[in-house]
Amino acid sequence: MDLIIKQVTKIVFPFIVLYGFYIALHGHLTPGGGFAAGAIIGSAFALLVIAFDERDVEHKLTVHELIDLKSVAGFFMILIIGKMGYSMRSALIESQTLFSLWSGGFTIIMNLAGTFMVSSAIILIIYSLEKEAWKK
Amino acid sequence: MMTYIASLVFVIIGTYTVISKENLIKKVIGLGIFTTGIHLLLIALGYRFAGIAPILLKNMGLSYFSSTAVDPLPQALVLTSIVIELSVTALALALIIKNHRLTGSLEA
Amino acid sequence: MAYLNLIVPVLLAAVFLITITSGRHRHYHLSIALSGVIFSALFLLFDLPRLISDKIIVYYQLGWRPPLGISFAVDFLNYTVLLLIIFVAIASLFISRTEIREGKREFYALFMLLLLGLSGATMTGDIFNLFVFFEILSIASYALVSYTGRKKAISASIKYLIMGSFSTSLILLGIVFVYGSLGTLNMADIASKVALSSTTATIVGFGFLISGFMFKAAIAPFHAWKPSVIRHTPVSLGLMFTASGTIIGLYTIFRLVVTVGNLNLSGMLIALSFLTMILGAVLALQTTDIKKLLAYSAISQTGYVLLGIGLSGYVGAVYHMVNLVIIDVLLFVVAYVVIKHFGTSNLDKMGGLGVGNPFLFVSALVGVLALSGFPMTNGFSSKLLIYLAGIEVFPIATFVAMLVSVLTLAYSFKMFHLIFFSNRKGAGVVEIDDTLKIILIIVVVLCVVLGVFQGYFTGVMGIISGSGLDRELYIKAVLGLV
Repeated sequence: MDLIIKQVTKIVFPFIVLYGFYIALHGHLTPGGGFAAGAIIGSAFALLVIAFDERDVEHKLTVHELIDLKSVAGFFMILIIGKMGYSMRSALIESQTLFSLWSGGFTIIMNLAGTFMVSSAIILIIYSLEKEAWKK
Repeated sequence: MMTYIASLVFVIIGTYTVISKENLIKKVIGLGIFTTGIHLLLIALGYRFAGIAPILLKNMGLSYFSSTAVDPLPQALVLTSIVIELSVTALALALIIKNHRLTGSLEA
Repeated sequence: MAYLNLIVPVLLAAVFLITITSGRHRHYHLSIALSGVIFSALFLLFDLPRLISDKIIVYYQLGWRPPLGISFAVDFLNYTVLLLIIFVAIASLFISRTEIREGKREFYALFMLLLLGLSGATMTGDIFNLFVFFEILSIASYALVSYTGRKKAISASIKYLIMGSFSTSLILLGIVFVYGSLGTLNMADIASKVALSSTTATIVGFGFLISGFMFKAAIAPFHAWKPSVIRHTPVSLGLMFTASGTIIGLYTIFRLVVTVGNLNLSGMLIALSFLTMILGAVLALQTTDIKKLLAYSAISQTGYVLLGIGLSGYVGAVYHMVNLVIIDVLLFVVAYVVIKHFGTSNLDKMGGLGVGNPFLFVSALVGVLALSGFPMTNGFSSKLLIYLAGIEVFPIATFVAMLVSVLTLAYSFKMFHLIFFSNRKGAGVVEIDDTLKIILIIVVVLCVVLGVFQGYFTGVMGIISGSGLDRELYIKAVLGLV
């Protein structure tokens, strides 16, 4: 990719990720939530992958490490969120007040977990597609 | 009404693309258009002109709420469906890359 | 707390555990997969006493009552289907033990995901949840078809993916129509509202839903994907796609047409079943590939079940659905052993196994006889019920079904002849694994028992199909009105 896109990506990238986390934390107050936030963070990485192809950038995580990380996280999320979400489902609904960040009870943890899962899934997809596409 | 017609147009374009195009990438795009049409239809079902957000506040009457709030369920359904479509598209692209490497063409 | 609810989490945990286990510990993958399946089978058995006393087990996800929340509702019909799916999964895992040599991690993870989709789709009582589980099982199967990485497998997988995701989109479109006209997604709630407030949109929605599920069951206009998919996948997967895929498609059609929709579609179902039966049998006659032949045969037999549903002979339909799975397991295990022996799936290059393989010979003979509906086998009992249902309502249907039965006899004995009797003498002794031997014995015994004790099993199938027909109980139990 050309120089302008590379430079702009370097500047914009942290802000996109930050915006993703903003969406995740305010998921119970404003439109959005875990999935939207994860998609935004994932798209930041997609931009990175498109702007700098594999010859320029060395990924810190390999695809296999990402798969392992994601499945470990997924396994524990089933156990923890499944169990806690069940026992705290009344707290999840009743303690919610409008326009206050620390209100939704358990929702915020669910949103962060969702963000983690979705963003790692999208990063995984984009990394592995890119790796396959460039492989000779 | 406009939205229904628009979704019908999307569905028709999607179906045409899937059936008529040889190129697999175009077929996948066609599938995307087809599903988008269905999503649009689903969103249009829940939409209400000048509706309010579906949050029941303390000082709000139940009848007022049920007559003005938009239906939140279609949006949840569309979100789920988008996630599914994302994974199908990713899988399709991965298979197309693999097919391209084996046969050197973008047609199955 | 129902044990049944634990099946989906256990299978999902198995998926993640298999993914975490690295390639170095290759022999763990099968063990994790098998233990996941066996745990599911145990959960099923633990819930049997409760099912018998309550007639239906309803479980509300996270305690939300329908129509708001998602509910799992399991009656005798679902329960049988789930039991058969798990049985097929065990058989198919035992086949894969010696068949799958590379990429075990990916194979077993996707296999368990497929099983998760199948069992979830069987248990759920919510049409959107049904769609989600269907997508899970479809995505797992698209990926599994391409698992060998060969050129033709990839090509078959892409075609299957495009057709399959088009058909699941049709299911979504159907859900949109049903939700738009009735305002609910819960099956029992739809069933209670469909009589009073159904409009044209509801009927159109059901049409889309049923055509989407027909694709999965490979019913005639939508059958084209199946032979090429089965041809290019390992036999263990072929068994899974043929037996489980068919049964889940037929089950959802049964549930939607009879329990939920209470629709009168007999004309359409009978027409499609004629097409499916005849086309499947004729195409099976002309093929020389054993996997393709079994795929076409399964398509043809699916037509019988559909005919049973169309003729309101639900007992025969359910009976044949059960038999179909048992015969499929038997024939696919035989096919696996034979393909492994000859190193090819081409029937013309086989032959001469008639000498020195008495065990294989007898099992294959039972399978072929049961498939073509020979008396004293299970195929006869169920086909007889379907014929009798046809004579009362629509005699031409019985005639066509009998005609197809003759064709079935022709193609199944063609296969039998080419494997065991054709000109080459003494092709050696086929080695069969002990586990596969046990499965063969179980299946052969089941074939004979379901055929001999026809009267008793007709009663059992009557109870099973009766629970699918009992709309009032279903509605009341799921909506909590009891």
